[in-house]
Amino acid sequence: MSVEPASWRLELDGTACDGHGICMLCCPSRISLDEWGYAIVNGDPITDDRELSQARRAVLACPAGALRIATRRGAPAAPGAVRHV
Amino acid sequence: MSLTAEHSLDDLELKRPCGTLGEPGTRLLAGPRPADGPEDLAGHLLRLGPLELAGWSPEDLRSSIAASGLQGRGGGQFPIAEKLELAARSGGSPLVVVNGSEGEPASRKDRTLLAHRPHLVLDGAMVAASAVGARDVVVYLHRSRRDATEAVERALGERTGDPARIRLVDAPARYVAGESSAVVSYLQGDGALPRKRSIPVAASGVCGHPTVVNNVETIAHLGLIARFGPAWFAAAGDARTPGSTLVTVAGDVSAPLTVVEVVVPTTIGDVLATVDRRLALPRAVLVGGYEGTWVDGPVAEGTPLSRGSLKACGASLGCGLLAVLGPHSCGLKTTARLVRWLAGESSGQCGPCVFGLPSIAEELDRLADGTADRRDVRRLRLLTASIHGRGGCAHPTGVVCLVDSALDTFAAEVRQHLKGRPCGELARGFPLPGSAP
Repeated sequence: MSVEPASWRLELDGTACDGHGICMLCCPSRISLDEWGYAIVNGDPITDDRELSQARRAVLACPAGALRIATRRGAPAAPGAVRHV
Repeated sequence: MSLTAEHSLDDLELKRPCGTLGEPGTRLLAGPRPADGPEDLAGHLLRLGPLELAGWSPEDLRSSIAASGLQGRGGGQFPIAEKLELAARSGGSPLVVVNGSEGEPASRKDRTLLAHRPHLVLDGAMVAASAVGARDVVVYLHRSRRDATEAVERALGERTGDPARIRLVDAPARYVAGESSAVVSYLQGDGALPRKRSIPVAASGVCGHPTVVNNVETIAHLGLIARFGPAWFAAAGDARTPGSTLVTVAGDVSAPLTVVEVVVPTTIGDVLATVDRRLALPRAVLVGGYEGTWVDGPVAEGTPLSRGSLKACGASLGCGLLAVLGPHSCGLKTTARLVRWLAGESSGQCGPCVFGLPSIAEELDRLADGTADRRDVRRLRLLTASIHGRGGCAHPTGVVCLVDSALDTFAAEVRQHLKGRPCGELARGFPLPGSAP
């Protein structure tokens, strides 16, 4: 899938996040946890391929389906990158 | 747009920088005095003339509203014309919501308009409905606001021939219930929960229909713009803040919860002097709402209520609240009380809000009590930084911005509290639902 790399962003639905914390293990460069265990997501564009695949893994690993990768704020990017519920 | 009631234009000419209900020289607040109660249909028509919408196409109405430059008066300051345009182009049957929830505990402007000028608000709702081709209008209003509810019910009984059907819907009495996504969610039967939405409600709102949610004051302005035209509207104010604006003055003043109509470049000091002529220089003024910004008293005094000047002090007009902290009151105690209440108003959907806000409230309480040390203040700053920008709605960020602005504005008081020295009292005039004033 070739899409302009600068347009990928990791997004969190704060209302869905349950603080499982698996995402942080998958993509530590983009995701950290607050003192209660809820995800803090860096939503800046992802340009690095390795980081993008880590971010995809985090999206798929989230038991609450709270993460997704979007092309811009609000728009899901492509199949495989979108949130799986 | 043609002038349908030229005789009354003179009365609506802004001859003063700010005025209260019933004072000549105001616009939204012009007309009968507060003691006269709600303006009835006959009085309203005699004063402003009839609202003639039949000759207007929706496109013309929308371009006229766009030319006025009217911005939302609920806090977001979003141009209403953009919402109307989006709703009109999105297909489906649009719905217009007159948002009268006014969840800000110290704001009174929307209630004042509904209770005293119900026909002006309902006229505005008809303008919005005609501009998007909506056949349904909802007035979203909490029933405990008896005067406003009764005035609207009575006004609805007097009106005939409106192009859209108007229904009164009982809104929940929660701080976050007035956020437009929460309003839409509530009207769908899902509970008034605010949410980040990928598609604006104006494009797809209640059950997928375009939903134009606007604050009562914004809607009321439409009732005047449709009569007197966009040029008349924009002749007041400046390019970034066109028209007049309603402000509620609360806090340590002789007549708290007074609504004032203001035109920039009126300063905060001018508005406060209108309400309380003998007011001593405040310690600070909370601008924009309980999730607003504390501005140092001497700075606030001379600051015009324009977008640019407020932004220069880190503030925004928000819902139009100006809450005064008197010279002998303690800003930290007062903020701690507000934050405790705001933490309880979380809709309970997101971790940072559910766990973070009570932790912040606890730290702030200890600081206000004089039992905190330096490390607690550092932790408070770390907490606010970790919550900023997170969560599913603006509530947690609003609270941490209030806390940060209190720590900045009351830095001298923070030092006093850390040394355990006595300071001022809890400010008066900051009402909270469910507590004594």
